Amino acid sequence: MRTLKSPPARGGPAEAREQFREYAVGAQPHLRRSAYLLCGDWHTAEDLVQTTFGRLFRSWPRVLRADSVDAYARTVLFRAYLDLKKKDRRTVALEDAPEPAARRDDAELRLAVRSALDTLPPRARAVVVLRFWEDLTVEQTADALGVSTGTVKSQTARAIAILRQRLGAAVGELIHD
Amino acid sequence: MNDMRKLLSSAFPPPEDEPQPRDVVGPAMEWGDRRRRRDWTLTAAAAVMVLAIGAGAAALGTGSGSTSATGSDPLAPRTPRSFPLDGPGTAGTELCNIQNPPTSGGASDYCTAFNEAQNFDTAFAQGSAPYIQAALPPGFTVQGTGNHALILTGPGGTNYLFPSVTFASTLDGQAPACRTPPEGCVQTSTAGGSVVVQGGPSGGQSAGYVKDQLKDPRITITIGIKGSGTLGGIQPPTAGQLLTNEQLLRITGNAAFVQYATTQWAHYLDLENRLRVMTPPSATGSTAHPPYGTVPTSISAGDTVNWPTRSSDWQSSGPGSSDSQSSGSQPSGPGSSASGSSGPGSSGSQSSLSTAGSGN
Repeated sequence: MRTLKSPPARGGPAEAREQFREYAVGAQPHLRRSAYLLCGDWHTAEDLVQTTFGRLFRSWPRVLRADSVDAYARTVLFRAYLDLKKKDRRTVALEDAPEPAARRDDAELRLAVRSALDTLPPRARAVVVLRFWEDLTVEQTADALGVSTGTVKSQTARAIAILRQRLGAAVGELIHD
Repeated sequence: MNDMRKLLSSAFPPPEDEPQPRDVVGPAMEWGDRRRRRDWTLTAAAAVMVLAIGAGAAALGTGSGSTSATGSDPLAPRTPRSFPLDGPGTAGTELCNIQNPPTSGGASDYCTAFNEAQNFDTAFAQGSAPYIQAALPPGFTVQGTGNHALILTGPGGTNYLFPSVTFASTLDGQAPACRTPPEGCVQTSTAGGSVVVQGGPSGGQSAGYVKDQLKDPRITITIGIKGSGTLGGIQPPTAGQLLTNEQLLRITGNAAFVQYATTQWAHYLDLENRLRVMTPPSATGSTAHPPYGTVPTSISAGDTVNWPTRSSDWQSSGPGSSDSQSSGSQPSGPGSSASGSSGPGSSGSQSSLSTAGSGN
């Protein structure tokens, strides 16, 4: 994840709008992919990114005062995702989850990983993406999600156990904390 | 850790299979703009409410109705005014809205006055338009809607305006009414130097406290403004708050508007007083009637229909005009605090400024 420092605020409202647009256009690809890992479909991912940008723009002057706009945006995105999952508490029972992948070609691996991610509870999934995709530390992850470091550690362990179980031993070897 | 990242990367489809990203920045900025305008309006409303509540704190604390309407939504459907002597389902409410309303005689007069009073909020708002227009900065226009809201159009879009009038919320900076003298009450000598009764200073030496039977000619004009929300059947606002608090204050302090509002409020109080001594129609067409507050049992609530208002008779009266419908009926006392609970003061609950105008 890029760790851009907050750019200085520029000029009046028109300049602020342009500054926000520049930032959003640059940040969109990364946020979109993170959102995709969180929710597993592009449409929802883009909804999450749009929500994130809306919240950022609403408070843009305050966002610019943050240490890192990227970190701020990431926090907004992940919390928007958790908010979304709170509203949509569909869960997949473990017995209904897909069988471990038998073959490892790209397409099947992709489906297997996505299916395995889908079995994770929302918070555990957010922890996995933050820790292993965004490369955040336990402390940074806890800060982004507004939970304790102990919660991050336990969620990480739980998520890895589920992924190992779902992805099978071969791929499971890739997973280590 | 890198292995795990690689595993997660495998969840993505090949780049050529990724759908083109849609434009989320523009819609997000539009949403952010709308929310910021709403935030700003609500912040302004909160600040103004602090002022309003501060000005009327004593009145609230002592039970005066003049400021008790804070907190309601001006966009909500208007509740008809409740009369001082009316309870739920009183004779006027039930009998002046039935399918075949009385068309002549005392019952007709009663219902004419009753419905005119019921529609006071709407009529006052619509009649306020020319006065507000005259006090607006260049580039702004205001027009009526047939409701208790006006549409303000300015360079940046439109707002709802909710003009209203009610009792003076303060009397020389003090609460005009109280229920438990002497604590929290105002000596009339402080309030005006003489006892204030039946619409004005009596000329007598102050001798006591202002009670909740006070009827003071002074008024409070409130103009609520909203840049969001929707009032049924009326085009919603399209801009954040278009007028500053200072500009709103200038409008409420406009001498012609104060004169108009004072005249209309006096007319409303007169309607109240006339209704007190008039005979409500009965369900059978007889003019015999039960006392106020008695609910007739022969009329069901579902029988109500809209009753035409005659408020147009007076709503367009010009600045400084006197109201020809003011009767010589003897006021039996001022409106009690109950009349304010659903009164026009509620329209300023979201964002309003009030000022006391001196009618006399």
